[in-house]
Amino acid sequence: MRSLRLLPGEFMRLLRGRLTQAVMVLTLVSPILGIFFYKPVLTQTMQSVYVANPAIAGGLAGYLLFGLLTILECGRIAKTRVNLLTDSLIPPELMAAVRFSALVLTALLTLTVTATAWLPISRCFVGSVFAFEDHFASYLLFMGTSLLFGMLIAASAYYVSGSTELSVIVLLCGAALNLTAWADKWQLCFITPMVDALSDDFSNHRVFLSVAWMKLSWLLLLGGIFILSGLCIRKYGKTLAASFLLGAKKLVKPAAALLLLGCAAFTYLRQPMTDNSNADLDVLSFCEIPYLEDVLCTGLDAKIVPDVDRGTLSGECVYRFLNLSGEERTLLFGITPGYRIRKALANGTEVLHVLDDYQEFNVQKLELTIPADEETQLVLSYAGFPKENRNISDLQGEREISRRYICLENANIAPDLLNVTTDPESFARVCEVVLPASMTPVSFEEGREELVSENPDGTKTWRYEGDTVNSILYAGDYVKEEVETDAGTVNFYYGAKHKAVMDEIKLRDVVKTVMDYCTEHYGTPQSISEGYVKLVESRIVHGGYATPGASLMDEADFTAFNLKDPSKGAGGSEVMIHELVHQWWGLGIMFSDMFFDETQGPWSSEGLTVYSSYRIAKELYGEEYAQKNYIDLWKDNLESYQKNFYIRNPEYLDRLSEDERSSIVCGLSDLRRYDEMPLKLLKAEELVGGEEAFDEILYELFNRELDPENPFLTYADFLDACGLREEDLDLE
Amino acid sequence: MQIELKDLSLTYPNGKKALKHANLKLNAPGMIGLLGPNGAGKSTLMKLLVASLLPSEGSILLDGKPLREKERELKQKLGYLPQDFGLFDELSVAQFLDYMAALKQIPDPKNAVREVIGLVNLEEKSKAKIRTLSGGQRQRVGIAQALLGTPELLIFDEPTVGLDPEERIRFRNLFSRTAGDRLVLLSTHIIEDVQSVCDHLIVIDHGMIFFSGTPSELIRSAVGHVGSFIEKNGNSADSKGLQVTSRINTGDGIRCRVVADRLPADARPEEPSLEDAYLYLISQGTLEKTTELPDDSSLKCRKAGPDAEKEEER
Repeated sequence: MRSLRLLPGEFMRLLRGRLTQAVMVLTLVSPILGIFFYKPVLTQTMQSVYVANPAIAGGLAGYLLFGLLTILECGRIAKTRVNLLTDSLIPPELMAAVRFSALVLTALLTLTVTATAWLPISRCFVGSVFAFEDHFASYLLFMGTSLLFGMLIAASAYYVSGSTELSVIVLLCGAALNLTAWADKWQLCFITPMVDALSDDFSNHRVFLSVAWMKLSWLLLLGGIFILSGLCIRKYGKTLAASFLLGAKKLVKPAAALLLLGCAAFTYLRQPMTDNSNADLDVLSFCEIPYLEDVLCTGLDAKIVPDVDRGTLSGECVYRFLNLSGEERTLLFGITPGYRIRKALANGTEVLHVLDDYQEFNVQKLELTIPADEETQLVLSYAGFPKENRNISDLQGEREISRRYICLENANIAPDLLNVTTDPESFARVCEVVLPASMTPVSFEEGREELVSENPDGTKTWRYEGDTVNSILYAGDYVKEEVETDAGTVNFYYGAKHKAVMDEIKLRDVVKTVMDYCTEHYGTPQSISEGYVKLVESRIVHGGYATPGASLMDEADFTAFNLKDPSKGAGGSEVMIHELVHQWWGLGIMFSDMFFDETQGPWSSEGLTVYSSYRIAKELYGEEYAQKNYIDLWKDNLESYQKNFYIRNPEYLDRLSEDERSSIVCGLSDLRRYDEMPLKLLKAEELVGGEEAFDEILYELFNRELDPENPFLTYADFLDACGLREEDLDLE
Repeated sequence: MQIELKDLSLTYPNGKKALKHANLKLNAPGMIGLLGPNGAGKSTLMKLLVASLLPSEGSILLDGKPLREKERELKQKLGYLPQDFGLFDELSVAQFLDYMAALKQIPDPKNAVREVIGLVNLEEKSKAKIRTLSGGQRQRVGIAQALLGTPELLIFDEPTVGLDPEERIRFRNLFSRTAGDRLVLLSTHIIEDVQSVCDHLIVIDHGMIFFSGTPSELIRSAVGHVGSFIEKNGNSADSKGLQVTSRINTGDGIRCRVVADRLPADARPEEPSLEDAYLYLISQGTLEKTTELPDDSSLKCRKAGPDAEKEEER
C-alpha cells in the first residue's frame, strides 16, 4: 500500500526525464522496423505483415530500450547519489520496488500509446480483414510482455551485480540467445515469439494461446529471479551476501520467489500445447503395424462437442467391428496427444485400455481388447485439448478450437484405427458435431453437412458422412457460394471477412472458367461424380491440398497484398486454379508420387497440374502473360538453380549444415516437379504436334480404363501415349 | 524524542573500524554540533542514526526501543542532509521538492514546498531546472528537502559546504531557530558553524567520542593550555612540537597562538576560544585515544586528556 502511495510521484519524476521520453518515443516508432527490416513472420497474410511483424519488432526494440532505461535509471540514481536522500526516507528495497513499478507503468503507457497510434496505420494497410482484437492482443502479447521482460532482466542483473556494464551485457545476452540458439524453440524465444502467421479471415486464438503460455512461463521465471535479486539490493552498507541474508530473513520473499520458479518449471515442462512426438521423422512405426486379418471395422458413429471457450473437445465414438477369429483381439487406436479416454465399453462392458506414452507424428497409441464375439460395438469416450506435433511447433495454430474457427483433422475428431482395416463394402462413418449457431461447418470430403437440430443452448448439431475413419472438419464464419459449372456445382467456402476481396477479383468467374476448361479438355473427374465439389478457404496451411470432392487453399493466396502484387503474376487466383486442377491431375488420375522421392525423377501430379494451369492462364490472360509468368519463370528458376555452386559442385554439399543441405535438396525436388516437368511437357506438346494433339493425349490418359491393381499414371504410360522416349524430353 | 547510543561500533566490510564503542544520549529539543576532523567518523555516526548503516556491535535506541524496530517511525520523523548528495537534474526545484514531499508523504505538499523554498531563499529559482543551479543553490535545495514536513529530527552533514559567508550565517540562524522544538544534529569541521548556535557539542575523532558537553565546558577544558609567543630563530612552534592555532604578523615578529599540554615558559597565557579548545582536545585525543564514556555522559562535558585524569585523581 505504501509503495502505491509513492508510485505517482516516482512515475511523474520518471516521465519528466529526457532519457525516459527518448525511450518512449523510440519504442513508439519501433514497430516500423517490422515493416521494413525485421520480419520474423514470413507468411504473407495482411495481419502477419502489418500487425504481427510490427508488434514483434516493437517488442524486440522495447526489450532493449526499456531494459537499458531500467539499468541506466538504477545506475544513475546510485551514481548521482540521489539514493542517499531517498534511502533515508524509504528502505532501499521498497524504493527499488516503487522505481520498478514506475518503470512498468511507463512501459504500459508507452505500450498503450504505441498500440493506439499504430491502430489506424495497421487498419489502413490491412484493410477489410483487420481485427481489433488481434491488433491489441499482438501488441500486448508480442510487444508488451517483451518490454516487461527487458525490465525484469535488467533490474535483476543490476540488483545482483550493482554494475551498469554487467547488466547491459546480461540484457544483450538475453536478446542474442533469443535471436540465435533459441530462435527455433517456441518455449525459449521469449522476446520474439515464434509465430507462423496471423490469420486474416479466421481466428488466431491458438497462436495467441501458445504465445501466452510461453510468456507466462517466462514471466514466472523472471518474476522469481526478480524477487530473489531484490533481496540482493545493498542495504545498511552491507555486502551482496550479507544484504541477501538480511533480506531473506523474512521468508515471504524467498518463498514467493521459489513458488514462482517452481510454477515456471511446471509450466515449461508440462506445457499443454505440443506433444512429445518422436523427433526422428524417419520412424514410422505406427504405419508398420500389421493389420489383423480377421477383424474388420464396419462402421463408425462419432459425436463430438468442441468447447469453443476452452479450446477442448469431448467426443464419443461408436465403432462396429466384425471379429471372425472367434477369439479376443487386441485393437490399436491412434488418438491425439492431449486427449484422455474417459470410457471404453465393448458390447456394454467396460474394457481395460492402455494409453502408451510413446507418440509419433502427433498420434498416441491406445490399446484395448475386444471380446471374441463376432460383432462388437465399441464405445470410446474421450476429451481433452488437442496438442500439436512438436516437430512442427513453429506452425502452431493450424489446429484450432475457438469461437471463430475450428480446424480438426483425423484423430482430433475420432481415434484412428492402427491395426484394423475398414470393410470396403459396407463401412460408413457418420459424424455429428455440435457447434455454435454462428459457425458453418465444412467437412473436407464429398459428404454434405446437414443440420440435425437447433439446440436450446443456442448451438446447432450438424451431421456429415464419409466412407473412411478419418475426416477433416472446418467450421467458422464461412460464406458459401454456389458456382454452376459444366462439371457440376462448386460449393465455394471462404471466410466472411474476405467477401469484399473475393467480390473484387470476381473469383466466381475464375472458378467457372477453370472448371469448364478442365471438363472440356480432360473430362469430368470422378471426384465430382456427385455433381459438385467443395472449394474451401482455410487458415494458413502453407499451400493447398485436395481430396475427392474437396479442394483446399489457404488464406495467404487470397490476401489483398498477394493478389495485388504485380510481381506475383502466377500467384493469387492462379493458385486457386492450380488447386482446382488437382481435381483432375492428382485426384481424378492418381500418380505414384504419394511419398515423392526426387531420385525417381520429376514425374508427379504437380507437373501436369502446373502445365494445365499455364494453359488456363494462357486462355484467360493471353499468351504473353502465360509466357512471362509461366514459361519464362520455369526457365529462370531452372537456370538459376543450375548455376548454384552446390548443384554444380555437389561434393561440397557435405560441408554444409544439415539444414542448408536439406534446403538445397528440397529446392531440387520442388524445382523438378514445378519447373522442370512443365518444361518437359511443353516440349512433349511441341513434339506431338501442338496443343490440340497434346490435349487429346491427355484426354485419353485421363479417361483410360484403370487397372485397380495399379491405378497410377506412370511416366512410361505418358511417354507411350505420346510416342516418345525419355531422352526426347531432355532439356538443353 | 530521545536517541541513545549504547556501546556502538561499526566496522566496514573492508575491515576499517569507523566507530568504536560510542555511548551517547541525545534529547530533544536541542541543537547538537558534531565536530571532528575529516575521516573522524561523523558521517558514519550520522548514517547509523538514519539507519543507513547497521552497527557491528552495540545498539541505537529510539525512545527506548531498538532502532531496527522503529526504523519506519524514525524515517517518518527524519530530515536528513547527507554529504555529497545528488539531485534529479531534470526536475525543477519545485518538482524535486514535490517529489521528496511525496516520499515523505506530507499531507499538504504544495504549502510545505512553498514554505521551505522561502526558508532557503530559492523563490526565484523554484521553476529552474536543478541542472542550471550553482553549487550553493543545490546545497540549499538539499537543505530545503531536509526541512520539508517539519521533521522532529534533523540531521545535517556538512550543510554549509558551498555556501557563501552570508548564506552560512543565514542558515546557521535558520538551524538555530529550527532547533527550538526539535532535535537538530549538525555535523561539521568548521568551528564557526557550531560556535554560536549549538548548545551542545560532540567531538569525535578516529571513530571515538572524545567530548560531549556544552561549548563552554569544552572551552574550560582548555584553560591553561592556550598561549602565544613571538616566533624567533630557533624558537619556532614547530621545533617545540606545539599545536599552532594561528600565526599573526605583529611589529615584534610573528605571534604564534598555540595549544599544548604544557605551554613553553616564554608563552603568554591566552583565553581559549572554542577552536583552541577543540584543537587542544583533538591533539590530546590523538595521543591518547580515550573513548570510554560513563553511562550518564549524556550531553555532559567529558574531561578528556590530562585534566580529566587529574580530576579523577582528586
